[in-house]
Amino acid sequence: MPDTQALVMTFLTSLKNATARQTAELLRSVISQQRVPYTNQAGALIDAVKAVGEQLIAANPVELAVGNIVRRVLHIIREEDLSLTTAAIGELNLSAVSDDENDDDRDGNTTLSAAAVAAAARSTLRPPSLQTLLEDTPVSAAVPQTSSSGGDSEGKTADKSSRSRKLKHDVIEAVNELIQDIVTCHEQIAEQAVEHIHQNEVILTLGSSRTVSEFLFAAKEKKRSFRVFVAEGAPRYQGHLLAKELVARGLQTTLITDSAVFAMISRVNMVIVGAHAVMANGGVIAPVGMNLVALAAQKHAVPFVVLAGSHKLCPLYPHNPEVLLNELRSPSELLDFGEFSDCMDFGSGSGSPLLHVVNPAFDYVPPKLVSLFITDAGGHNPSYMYRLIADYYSADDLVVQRRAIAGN
Amino acid sequence: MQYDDKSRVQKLKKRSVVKPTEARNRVELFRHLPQYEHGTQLPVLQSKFFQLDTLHPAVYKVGLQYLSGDICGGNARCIAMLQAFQEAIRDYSTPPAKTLSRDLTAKISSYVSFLIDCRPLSVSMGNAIRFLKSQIAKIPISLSESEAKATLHSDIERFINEKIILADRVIVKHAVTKIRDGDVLLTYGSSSAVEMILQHAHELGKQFRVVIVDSRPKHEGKLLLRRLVRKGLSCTYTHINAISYIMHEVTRVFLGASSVLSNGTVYSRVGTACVAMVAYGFHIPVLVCCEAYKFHERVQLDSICSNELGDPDSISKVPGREDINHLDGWDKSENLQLLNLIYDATPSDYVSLIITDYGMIPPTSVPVIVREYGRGQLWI
Repeated sequence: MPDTQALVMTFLTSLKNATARQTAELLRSVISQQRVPYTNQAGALIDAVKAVGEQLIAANPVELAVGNIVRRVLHIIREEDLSLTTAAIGELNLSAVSDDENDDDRDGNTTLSAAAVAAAARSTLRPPSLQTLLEDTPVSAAVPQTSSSGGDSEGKTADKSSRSRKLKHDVIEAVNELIQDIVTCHEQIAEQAVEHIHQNEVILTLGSSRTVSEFLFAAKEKKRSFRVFVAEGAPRYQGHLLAKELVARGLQTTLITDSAVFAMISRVNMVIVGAHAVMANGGVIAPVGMNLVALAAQKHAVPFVVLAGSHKLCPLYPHNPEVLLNELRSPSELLDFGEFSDCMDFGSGSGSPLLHVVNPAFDYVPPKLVSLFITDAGGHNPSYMYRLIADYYSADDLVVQRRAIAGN
Repeated sequence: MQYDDKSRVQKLKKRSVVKPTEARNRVELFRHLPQYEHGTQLPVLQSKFFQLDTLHPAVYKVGLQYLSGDICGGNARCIAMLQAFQEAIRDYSTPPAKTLSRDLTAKISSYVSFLIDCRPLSVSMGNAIRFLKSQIAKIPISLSESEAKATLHSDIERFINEKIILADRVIVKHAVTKIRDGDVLLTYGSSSAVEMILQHAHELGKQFRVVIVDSRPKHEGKLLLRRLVRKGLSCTYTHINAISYIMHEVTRVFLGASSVLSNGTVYSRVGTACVAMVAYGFHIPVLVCCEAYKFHERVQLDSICSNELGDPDSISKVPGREDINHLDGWDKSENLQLLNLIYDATPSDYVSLIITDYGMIPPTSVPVIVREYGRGQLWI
């Protein structure tokens, strides 16, 4: 599939600005251009998406949203396949029951339907139940048997071809819905703003997040009066941008340095921040400095509210997130190379330089410091986030790797 | 002095030499503190240098240095002020029909209000001025003018020597016992006491690494970094947001202080409280190094009741990053305020130990020292 490969390559080169929406659009085009065989079409789609997904995740593992969308699409394929098969089984059962004048036919049909049911169950790639595990029949081998086991084979193949088209169609529709959700997540979160912001409140935030600004604008539209302290968020200084936007909308804003967060937080009613990713245990990967704010908020018993769209929810557990899920940026953001070039001349006995500069991009906030998550699906406790994972992701997709299929 | 009381502010303005213009977008929460435009005063004062009769030129010079930020740090400001006062006292002559103690005290008060206009006093300076005034009051009437001036000169000399220079040596001696081989020491900003400790420990041959945490807008850590690297210490430099990342490697935290208050609160450069809080969360000992003359009997619970506000323009600009210019013209919009706090108050729970020239004490013992060694006995 040279076309999809070209698309993937252009995407990878622009991965620095990759967003969840772009990933979803890319996977949609991969799916639509993928030729599916008549049999086991879901498996083929899944393989194709996994192949592309592996490359995307490997290109930038820290950008967790890309992996999330890959897993969401895989889950969509499995779900659509399951729903189609249960519908097909329902049809088979109906046809078996209605044909009751001819005993032989009925017997043949009922046996057919039982075998078809079992085979179809195996072919839908559901998580393996104990029965299928004990039967120990390979998944993809079961499907050809149904087509050869009895009459109506032309009817079956006609069914299957229409089913395969239907599967791709359904999957692409579901992916379109996913893209729509990603695009509108800010509005859905902002609708909940009025429940949380009252009158004469003081809100603290750090850095800049589009979700947070939309949230605050929505509260302002509903005529709630509040003031905002924005911590500038060195070394990217995105707080300056947010302050400018808020002031343009008529909100009373005070810009403070990050070092003043502890000093000011005693006068703050609520801390509202955005997140880069939400992990399976309810922990948050956020721009650097967020852990400081969360600790200060806990000390002063100020609620720490995290706004995150559901596409940011990652099914992985954060092991050693400061190191493994972090990115170290250029030291020139902290120290000017020209000014400090003479310090690089001093070395210790072994020749290593005396001067090291550390500039991490992300911070990990443990779940016990977060009071509330507000997603487009409503407000949740951090201890509930693992449950949402079951809604959006399948257990088979946690490690996105194409399984080596013998004789493929 | 409450700056939200309009009548008193008017009276103050009439008397003052420096004519400060009030900042335009004032932060409501800090209306009780002076917020002035910083940029305009320095050239005006520099031009007036030869026109002022009431002020001694040495005091004027020190005031200008405070205003421009050339001298900063509690010890440096205190020493500069006391040396300027020494010169002023040397050149002083009692007018006829007046007693030396009363007239000199009034003169010193006028110098002090000039210095306050340039930059609000630090606690160290306040304590030194109290000492000086009490010494002036103690001068017996029988003493001649030259003898009185010599006494005061040597008193000031002794104060600087005992309370600052020797005190620092004692602190360094105590503190290096707390540094072991293989330690990773974290410090915030630039404190003279901590710098001396690190240099002395390095001279003694101890093997350790230093992490210097810095913050906006002053970037004081850069100067400390340069000096330490030149001495051969291995340093890691980072900014305050990255504290949670770097704290995993750290074994001890050394902090300086502008003052320690009687409820154990450490009053120090803004950001110290954040560092101490994170260190406490990681169960890392926090050692505060502070000379005893900086202790004060005042108490404070948060950083808002008493603080100093710096120049807001230094927040809107980021030196070296011209692309961050979103806030050009910030003073034109009435909804935007920039807040540049200079100090903050670290609660005593976060501090493990305070190292002073009276020894190593827990934060709860500070009021004991203020009471036992304060007032009469402290200034022997």
